[in-house]
Amino acid sequence: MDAQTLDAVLFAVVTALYAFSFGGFVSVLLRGSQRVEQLAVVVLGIALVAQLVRMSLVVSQSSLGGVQGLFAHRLSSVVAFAIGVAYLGARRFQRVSLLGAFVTPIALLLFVGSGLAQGSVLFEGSGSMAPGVPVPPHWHSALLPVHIGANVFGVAAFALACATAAAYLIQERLLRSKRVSGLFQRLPDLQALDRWSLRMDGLGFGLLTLGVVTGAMVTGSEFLGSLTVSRFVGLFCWVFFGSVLFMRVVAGWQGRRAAVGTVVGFVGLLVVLVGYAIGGSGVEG
Amino acid sequence: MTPQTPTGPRAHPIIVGLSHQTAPIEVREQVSGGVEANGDLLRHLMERPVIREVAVLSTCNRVEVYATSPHPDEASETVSEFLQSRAPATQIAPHLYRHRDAHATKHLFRVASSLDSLVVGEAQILGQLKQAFQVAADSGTARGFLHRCFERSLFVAKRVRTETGLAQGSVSVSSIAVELARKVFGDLNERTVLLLGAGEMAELTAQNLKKDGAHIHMVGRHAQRSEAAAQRVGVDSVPPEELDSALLTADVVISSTSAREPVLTESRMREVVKRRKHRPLFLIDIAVPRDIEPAVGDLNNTYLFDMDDLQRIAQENMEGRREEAQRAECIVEEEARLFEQWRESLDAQPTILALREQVRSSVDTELGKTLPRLSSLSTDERKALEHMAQSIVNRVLHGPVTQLKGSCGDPDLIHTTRRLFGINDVAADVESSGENK
Repeated sequence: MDAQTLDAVLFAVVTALYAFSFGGFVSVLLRGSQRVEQLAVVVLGIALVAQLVRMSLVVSQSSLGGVQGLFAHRLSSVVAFAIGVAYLGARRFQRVSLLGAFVTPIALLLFVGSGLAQGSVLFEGSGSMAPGVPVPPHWHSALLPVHIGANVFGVAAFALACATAAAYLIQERLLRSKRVSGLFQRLPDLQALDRWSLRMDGLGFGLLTLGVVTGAMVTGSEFLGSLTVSRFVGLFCWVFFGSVLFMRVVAGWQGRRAAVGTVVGFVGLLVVLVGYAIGGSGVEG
Repeated sequence: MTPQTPTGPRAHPIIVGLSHQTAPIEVREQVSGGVEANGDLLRHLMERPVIREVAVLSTCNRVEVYATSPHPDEASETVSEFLQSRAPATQIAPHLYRHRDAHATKHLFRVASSLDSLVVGEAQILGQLKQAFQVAADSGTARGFLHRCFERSLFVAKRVRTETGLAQGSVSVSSIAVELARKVFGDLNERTVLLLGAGEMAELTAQNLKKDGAHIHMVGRHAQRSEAAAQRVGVDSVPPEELDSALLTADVVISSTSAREPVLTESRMREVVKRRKHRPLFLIDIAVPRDIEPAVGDLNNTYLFDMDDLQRIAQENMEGRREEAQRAECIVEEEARLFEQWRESLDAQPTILALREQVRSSVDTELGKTLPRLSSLSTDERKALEHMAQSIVNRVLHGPVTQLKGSCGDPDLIHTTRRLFGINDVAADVESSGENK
């Protein structure tokens, strides 16, 4: 089996696993079953391992190698992976297991978006196996992986914040409409959801700040020279979620308004990311 | 079916008691007042030779004596007389129910699963049952079969709670209010609850919130009356003129004044919400006519439930529990059947033990005769021969033992086995050891 075929097979496998995990989490949300939840978590873990294998394959095939090769595998796919890892990490420390139903569709959408890119699985040509656009040699430094990692996991933290905020909005809607059985009983209390969303917003903002600072240090005077998609994504996130945090602290935003702000911000980001995945290519597309 | 074995009488589980389903409160309070489940009472019951084990459950809704006895009818009569003696002023016989064998275990499983409770699905009964059997275990009056029954009832109750929604959703207005408050704030510890006016339902709800660690303040329209009510309930009193500032710090407001016009209007609350910086506020209006304008419920991070809402939720939860009760009954039925099969299989235990003993004894005798004549055998060869003999015994007995275990104590099969193998007598301790397995 050549690398291109293996890549296509792994894409199909990972997509199916993400979809299965999503279905499992939705079933848990609607019907409540610990066994199904455990199964969904295991399937998500397998999906991430399969995706890691796929990314390793790309890195080994890419003439860029290392972080550049990984990033050339398309931003949205890497972000999907980071979201999955962040969710599994978060559920070890918080009772956020039910949020799987909100997190997995985001990861699935980003992953499929990366596969729909020109020349990837669905098209003949280079696509995800392409070498990508090389990073200029004078940008190479130890800060480059920190910059990329901080940005990717910052976006993943915002994805978790968005998932939590979406759960908040559903829970609040159920409470207002006084439908307080079933799903309402299974979802966490409003206070906990608001608190988790705030924490994820704060964490994401911190990571993106690190990403912006290291980005400026890596690119030097070129940082503000041209607004590429990846820079736009980073700056958009940083400004938007910074504003949400600001409104939370200064204007006392909490609950519904903060949740709406978080969801709107992340959906906007998602549109940019998926559009970028389908239309663009490489790290500085 | 009452299993009769050739080994003599064995213990049967029995239950004698009365509950809210068979006796009015006047009778129940007479009996429960005279039956306090403690070690002395249990030992007193154990003095009756007909009773082998005993435990007593005494709550406001039921008094039940659980016992095992080789003579269940006689034991039921003895327990009935005992209960009557504890409530001499009332004729309790018409209100008593008596269960034995499979009916007794099934009844115990239903009680533990809260299917026989006044409020189906309530959790309190399981704690009371645990306590009753703990007292019996500590007093040494429930160590064998009865203890096994109790352990199984706990398992069944857990299964019912896990596999059905029988215990989900409160069915009392005050519990629903507390449950909803928890769904808004999570932990209610250190939360502030404001009582507007005093009423039985409001006080009950406030007391429930207080149990979770909430601070309660009371505001009335009349300062003196409000202060007296606050003292009675054991909460802090706030002067009526400080209502707005009290609303700023409150997390939960329970309103039950007798005012003819709304006390908390939309315009007033809009200002309050703004000054609170939109912190969540949970409002419960149990006054009729209502104290809080319905439009208040549309304000940001403000949640309003009135009496109709709470009663509708209680009704829905009750209906949900009724549906789940059907599933719970199936689980209880299944578990009771399995337990009865196990119980009946105990009747075959003495025969199985005797059969094994008899065959093993024959083999040992034959080995004892044969091995001395085979002096040329090494130690290892002798051990191999003994091992082979033991394996043959196990293989030969495997079929009969499996049949006996699966026969649910079929007396015909037990008789036939005993006749075939010439088993005549089994010591009583063999029987009791079988029961305790």
